[in-house]
Amino acid sequence: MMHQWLNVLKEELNKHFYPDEVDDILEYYEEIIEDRIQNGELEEDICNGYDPKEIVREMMPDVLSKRTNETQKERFKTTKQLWTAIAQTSLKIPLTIMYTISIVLVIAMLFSIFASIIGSFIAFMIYGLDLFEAGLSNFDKIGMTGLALVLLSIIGIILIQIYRLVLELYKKVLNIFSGLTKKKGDLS
Amino acid sequence: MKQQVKKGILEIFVLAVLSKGESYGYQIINDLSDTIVITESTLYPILRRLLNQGELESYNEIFQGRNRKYYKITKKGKIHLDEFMEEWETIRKIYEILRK
Repeated sequence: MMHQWLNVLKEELNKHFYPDEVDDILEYYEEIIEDRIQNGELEEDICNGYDPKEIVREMMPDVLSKRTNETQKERFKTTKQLWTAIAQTSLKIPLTIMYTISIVLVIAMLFSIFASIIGSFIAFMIYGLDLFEAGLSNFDKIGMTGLALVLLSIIGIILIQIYRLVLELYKKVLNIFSGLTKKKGDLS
Repeated sequence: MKQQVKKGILEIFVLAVLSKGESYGYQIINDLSDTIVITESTLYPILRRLLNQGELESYNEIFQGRNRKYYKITKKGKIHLDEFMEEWETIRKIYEILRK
């Protein structure tokens, strides 16, 4: 019974948290259930008294605020889960609005950087085609192509730096809102 | 009680119980149950938070062939309790004024 319930809990936790977080929570419950059994409670009653969804909800604010959000996968997961977590805080309406605006802004920035990179490449291609149709000497063509490549690299470097800055900003946004959720989100 | 207040109080409760000696999950819930009803799912984030803040330490010990995690209050945790006592002293004075 207990192991069955722990498996159910594990499945529920795995949907939301990372393996080390899951293991820690499972150990905690296993210990308490064993202690309760030892003190004369029925295994069945104990397990029926727990709601895995409730456990996840109580855990969420703390776990989210601890994440570093280094990988894209992690950021994506946190972004999604924060929406749910914020909706359960005492300030859900203003926080949800602020959070949504921040995320939309960050994503818009990421998209525009992406678009700029593609745009620069297309511009370079068109420029190349024009160059060949302009009837210049080979020497001029090589010179102009070189110049365009240099420009393209400079634009590339600038865009990558901006991309990095926006990513930092993204992480900061996730950090700030997980912190706020943790502060405002204790359901107890 | 306002949520914010209650949250802080629960942390203090846990620290207070542990200031009387080391303890483990089940025992902490039982000790608190005389004063306040706290569920396992509420206690866990509090313990975790206090551990992260360095106000508690934990260690594992084998008890009857299974693992048990013990929690112990640290210096930082004791300072937190002292600060609470000072704040409480002020609140008590205000309470006295109100009662007169």
